[in-house]
Amino acid sequence: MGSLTVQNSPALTQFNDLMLASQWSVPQQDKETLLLSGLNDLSKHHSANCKEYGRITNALWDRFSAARVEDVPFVPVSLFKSHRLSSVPHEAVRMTMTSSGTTGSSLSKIAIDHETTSRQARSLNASISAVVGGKRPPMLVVDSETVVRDPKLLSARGAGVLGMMRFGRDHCFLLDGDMKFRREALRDWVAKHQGTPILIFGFTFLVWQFLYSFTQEDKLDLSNGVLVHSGGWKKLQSEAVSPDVFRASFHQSSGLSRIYNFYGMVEQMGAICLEASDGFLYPPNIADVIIRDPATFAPLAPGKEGLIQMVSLVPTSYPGHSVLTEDLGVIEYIDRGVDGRLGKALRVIGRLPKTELRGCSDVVAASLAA
Amino acid sequence: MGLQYMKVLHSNAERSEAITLFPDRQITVDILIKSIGDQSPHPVLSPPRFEVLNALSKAILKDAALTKLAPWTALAYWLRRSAVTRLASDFDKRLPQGTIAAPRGCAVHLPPQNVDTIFIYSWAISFLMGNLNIVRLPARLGAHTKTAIVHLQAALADRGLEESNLFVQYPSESDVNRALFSIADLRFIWGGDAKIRALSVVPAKPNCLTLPFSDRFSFSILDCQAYDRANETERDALAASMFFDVYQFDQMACSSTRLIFWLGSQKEAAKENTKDLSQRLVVQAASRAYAIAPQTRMEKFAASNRAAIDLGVERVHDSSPHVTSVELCDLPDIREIKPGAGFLFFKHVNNASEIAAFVRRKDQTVTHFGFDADALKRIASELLVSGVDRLVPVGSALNFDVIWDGFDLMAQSSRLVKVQV
Repeated sequence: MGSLTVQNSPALTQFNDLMLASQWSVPQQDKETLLLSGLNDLSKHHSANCKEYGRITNALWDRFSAARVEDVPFVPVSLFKSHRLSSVPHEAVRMTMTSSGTTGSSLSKIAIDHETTSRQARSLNASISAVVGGKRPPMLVVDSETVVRDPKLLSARGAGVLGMMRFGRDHCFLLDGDMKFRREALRDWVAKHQGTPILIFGFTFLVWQFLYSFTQEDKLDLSNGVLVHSGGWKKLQSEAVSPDVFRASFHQSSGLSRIYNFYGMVEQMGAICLEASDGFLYPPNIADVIIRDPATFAPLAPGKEGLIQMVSLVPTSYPGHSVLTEDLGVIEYIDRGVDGRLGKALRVIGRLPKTELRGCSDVVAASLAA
Repeated sequence: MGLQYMKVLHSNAERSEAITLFPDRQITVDILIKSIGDQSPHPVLSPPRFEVLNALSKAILKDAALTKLAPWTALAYWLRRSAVTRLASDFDKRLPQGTIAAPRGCAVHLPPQNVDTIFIYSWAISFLMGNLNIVRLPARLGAHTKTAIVHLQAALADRGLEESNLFVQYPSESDVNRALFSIADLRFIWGGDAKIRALSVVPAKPNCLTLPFSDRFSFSILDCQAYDRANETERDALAASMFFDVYQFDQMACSSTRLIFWLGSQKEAAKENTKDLSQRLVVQAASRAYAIAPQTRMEKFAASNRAAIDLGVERVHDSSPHVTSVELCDLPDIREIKPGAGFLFFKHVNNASEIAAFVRRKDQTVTHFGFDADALKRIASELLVSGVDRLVPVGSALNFDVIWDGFDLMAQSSRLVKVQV
């Protein structure tokens, strides 16, 4: 798969070394040694090749050769919304992924080249095949085909769907272009694959809104399915649907019990943190999570809640190898070995709460026109 | 013509809209307009008005919950009889020969939603000048503000002036503004550019005077050598004053310092001073337990990253959650960058003309440190052609004054009557 990768591509050696081990099998200490060396290579690479990133490291960071993974410079995730950051020549960019973000209507703009795509796919493959198995099963996508129609400009949802589609075959989209239920198509598809293992993928709120109600009404048997879902619980929390309720409901309505949530973002494609049977999320070999104090940004010990920082050896075409998110989380434990998984077990708490500052200028001014 | 007529009809039709008279009396616009119409203005600077302000001052100073907070204490001192008497005599001195000041009539105040003391200053000046007042209170009132309004209404009621000074609340999307403007001789519009743009198109009484308080930018000029010479105690005192200017109202008030100039020939000294002063501000913020919300901290970090990319930045000091100091190489327009809560630009300049080239009409307050009266006048005369409405010592940025945003608020709240023998 990596046949086209350039030999001197930054952090490739460390990436390959980490990929040699099966997913989640590297003890934290060993992982950090390889990550640190790779991340330092990437800091150097991005500083030299992305002039915006170079300015940031010059102005904000004393040195970008870090002695610990926690000392690697990090950028705020919102930077990918305000700036289009690229560390490769324009012609090397294969596609630009976009996402709607936390700050209103602005989009993240992520420049992806061949090398980055390849690393994303390799890491994602190692995570998903670990829970789905080697063979590509028939796949049900809880979304509309329209979100993957233009691969040149992908939304976060489209990129997520497209990235996952490679793990299944004979894809069935649950929704049509108007987000309407394709009931007949689904019935036929399910009948066709009765008794064979199937893969189901979708964003958490869509899975709940469309698939769950369907399993209730149609007494669908999904006990042969594996559900992989992502996208946060915020919309479900308002309906009082907790992760536990989500799991129990599906199990009861359709026998679906192999359910895996994951935490990921368009700025960190390929570095998804996938759920284990303890309900916590595990970063892949080539990436890690660091929890930081929301005020001081100091790294926090397991058990302490703070901002989630993601580090990853995937991004070579944009300076996203170390990103401070606006999400809150906590490391529950390290190297516990649940389901054979080592490394950090992450629990995501949610978004950083919004605040309103005082000031002379009224924010709601536009609505004041009488 | 026809359209205008329709508009009048429309506004009349809407006049049954509800208004809350503080604290909780529901009335219609019609009733409010009729009841204030039954009142008449008073002569300017009449004794009962001093008494009301003095009573309010006393009530605030007696209220432990309010005196804990600097803005309320500052307001109370500003309202004291001695202070107001001085304002009045200064005003008399400013009056042109052969004129007498008279009230304008009915003033409508639209204060900012988020700076809780402004509406009292705005009201107090207009009240002193004898006007009837309708003050639209912010939609969400903090406990302290509510307490203050209770004191204020009690002071008015004691003098029988509560009917001519109404404190109201109503939804922003309602047509109440239009109705109130139709009886306004004077309107104070606080709250920034967008609000002024939205409201100034709403027709008012033809003779109505509008005082717009637009978005402003404020900075500080520190004499580099004076800071070098200052000892520890003096530097700490300066940092304490600077803290007040920066952090009061989360650095989001028009007068909040957002950029600091080091004026002097020593560039290296300026860098050292930036570090030293930033460190002292960190100490101030920590010792006063200034709370910073995580989202704001994140926004400051993001703003400093963006600044590094976009602005030509020598260095960013961002190691404390309280102070982010951005050392600028050049002097681009940074007025729209305001994450607030302790985000400071620093720039070294050799002379005041470099600052003058930066100044725009938007600039309001300049705080200064280390200059004698002559040096200050020279600096002022260089800057004021392009902008800047006030130069005050570091620590006084947020001290309200009747000379504000280039207006003499007492003069604007009254009209001049020429009396010729």
